[in-house]
Amino acid sequence: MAVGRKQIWMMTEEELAHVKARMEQLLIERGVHLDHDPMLKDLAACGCIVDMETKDVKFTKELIDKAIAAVPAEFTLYSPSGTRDLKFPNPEGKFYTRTNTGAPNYRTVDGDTHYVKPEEVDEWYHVTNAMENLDFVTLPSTSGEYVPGDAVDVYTLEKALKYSAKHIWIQPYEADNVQHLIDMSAAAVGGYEELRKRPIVSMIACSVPVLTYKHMDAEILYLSAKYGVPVQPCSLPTAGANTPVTAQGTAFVASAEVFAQIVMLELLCPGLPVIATPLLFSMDMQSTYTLQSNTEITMARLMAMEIFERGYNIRAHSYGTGTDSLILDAQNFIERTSLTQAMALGAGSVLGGAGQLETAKTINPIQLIIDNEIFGIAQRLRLGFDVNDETLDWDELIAGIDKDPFFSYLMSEHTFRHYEEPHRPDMFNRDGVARWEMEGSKDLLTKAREKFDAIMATPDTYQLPADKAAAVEEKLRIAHKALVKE
Amino acid sequence: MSIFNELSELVIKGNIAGCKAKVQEAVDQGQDPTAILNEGLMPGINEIGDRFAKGQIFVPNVLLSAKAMNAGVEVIQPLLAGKGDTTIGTAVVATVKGDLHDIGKNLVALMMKSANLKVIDLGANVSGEKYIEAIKQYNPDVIGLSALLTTTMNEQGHIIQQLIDAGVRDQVKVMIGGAPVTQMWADRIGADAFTTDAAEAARWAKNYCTSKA
Ligand code: B12
Repeated sequence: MAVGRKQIWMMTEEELAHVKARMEQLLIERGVHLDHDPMLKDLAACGCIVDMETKDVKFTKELIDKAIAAVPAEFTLYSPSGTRDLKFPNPEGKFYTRTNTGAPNYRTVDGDTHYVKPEEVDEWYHVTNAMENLDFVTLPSTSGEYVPGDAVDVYTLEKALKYSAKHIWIQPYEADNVQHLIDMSAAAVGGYEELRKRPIVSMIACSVPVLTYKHMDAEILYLSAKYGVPVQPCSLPTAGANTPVTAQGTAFVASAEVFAQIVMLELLCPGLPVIATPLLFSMDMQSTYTLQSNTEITMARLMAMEIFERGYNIRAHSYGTGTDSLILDAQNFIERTSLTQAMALGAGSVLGGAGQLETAKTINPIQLIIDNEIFGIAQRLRLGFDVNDETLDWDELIAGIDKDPFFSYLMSEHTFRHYEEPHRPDMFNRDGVARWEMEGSKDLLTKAREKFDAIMATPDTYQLPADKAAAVEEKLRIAHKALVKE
Repeated sequence: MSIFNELSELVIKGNIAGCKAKVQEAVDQGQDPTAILNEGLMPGINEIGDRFAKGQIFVPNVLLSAKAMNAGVEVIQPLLAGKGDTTIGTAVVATVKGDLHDIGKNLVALMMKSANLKVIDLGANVSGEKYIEAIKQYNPDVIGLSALLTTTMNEQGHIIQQLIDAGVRDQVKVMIGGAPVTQMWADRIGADAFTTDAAEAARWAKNYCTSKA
């Protein structure tokens, strides 16, 4: 952990202990519903109390403790390029960041919004590769108008594997597709063993509140455990619609659902890297619209991060940036900045959602470029600072060196030691009016557009080597044959 | 305050036990059950609908008021002409095959019930065949198809085609909805109505059923 890091906690020690006890009690007494016979059998063999008829699973305290003890304290999510491997916990005390997953809409830099086209996925990875404050990527939801509707995830993964220099977090769309997604990922690194050693992908599995796992998600857990692919298990509750309306109740249910996935994964594959990923939403009781950025749900996220990071020393992940605004307006930037900064001061190891607007339904490259800046600021906040005689500049002050009429802090030794420390966002204005006008009176959106144009004018820095790309294509052909009903 | 006004107030307040007791009191006084319904309970729920449309109250208020009204209706139901059904029409709703998102569909069902429609909820992940069976069994006025994924939106179109093939398309109005769905999509697949939210869906269905009657 970074020296000097300051952190906000949402719970007292007693409250945290209470939540942990209740969460475990829920798994022990109520259990979960899991639609996957082979996995149910394996869990029974591990000692879980399984009802094959009702497909319900209960756990014991011993099993929970054993599973949690198996969660690795340290692990790495690898990058296809090898230039952006992500060690957990982050050795610098920072959080990691990722793009939004699953958005069906793409808003182009010119402001046209439509379902995601394949060439926009290429554009997306070109930009993500260039974002210095962005650590890993996800799959945009390519429209079934352009690639086969039964196989949008495998087609999008092909692009991610070929063009993303950064680790890929995969969101499958169909149970039958999961094996193919793993096959393609293995092909990109030279085989299943290689993938286990150097996982360049991790998986999303997602519960259906309350405590239900549909077949697809159970298949994701099952196959990930089988092939040693890291999982960032999710829960996407909507407070007031399918979980309790209170922030606390929703954080609790979501955490319990994620916790149960971790317990099952560690029983099936002890030592598998996992990152707890409760992604909370709430329902607006007037419009019934799902909200990502309401204030209480941000507090719920902080609570959920704390349950895992502080309560179990398990790495946790939730939304950082994001907005319920439909456009790049002031609401958008107020929401995403306050959300990111609150989360930066919380306990989470991964903050996500970069590039999204419209409650995770639309992605936009300009938004992504600006999120890159917001993350930079938030990282600075996360690192905190030390308070001691050196940072107070005690020696110079007590010596009274400022009494010298020729003295300026610009010339102080202390300034020389520290002047490079302040964070300088790439695109922010730091000039007076005269110069700003001389340079074209540009606002942030204009500068972000220029940055986008510059990135797109520069050849992409990464491409999967041709032999591996061919192996991926071969697996895609097999997937197409198996999945696409012509 | 007349007993009818009191009933309206109890519906507006969402007072379930109170509403039920007051309806019983009205019956015991010898009030006409149809008047209890039309002059007592209905004005209450209509007021709630108006207030919701104006953004003055929240969904749980609407649902609670609907519950209070139903508690009252249960008391008078056996006394109504022909032991009659007080609902204004029937809707069959579901989330289409391949799609498990049911929050929006559930809201549509709840709001339709609150608008006094009889609602048959087939659940999530529902195929065209199941819709056809339900149409034959319940003879609904409208059917609602919910889809939340760009991949399952297509299923809305497939289901409409299946209704045509089965010769039942003209028996019902097809309503579609869900986050990725648009009016353009509704036009393209030949749906009769698209609404952006559940309250609007209930209004559309109510208007259609009452205009038909
Ligand atoms: C909650 C949620 C889930 C929950 C669903 C729980 C449940 N019981 O429903 C869970 C976690 C299970 C889930 C699963 C998945 N989800 Co999801 N989910 C969401 C989320 C966050 C909210 C959806 C919601 O409930 N909205 C609230 C309701 C009230 O809104 P609504 O449904 O639009 O309904 C309103 C109107 O549309 C209208 N309406 C709705 N239906 C109807 C019907 C008629 C007839 C009419 C007239 C009107 C109408 O009225 C409603 C009320 O006003 C959205 C993101 C978002 N911001 O919307 C993603 C989202 C829809 N999901 C998405 C995805 C990708 C998935 C998964 C594939 C992810 C995965 N790998 O697990 C699976 C798919 C499972 C499946 N086969 O269906 C994507 C969609 C991408 C795409 N290509 O379209 C989204 C956009 C999120 C994202 N960025 O990834 N999800």
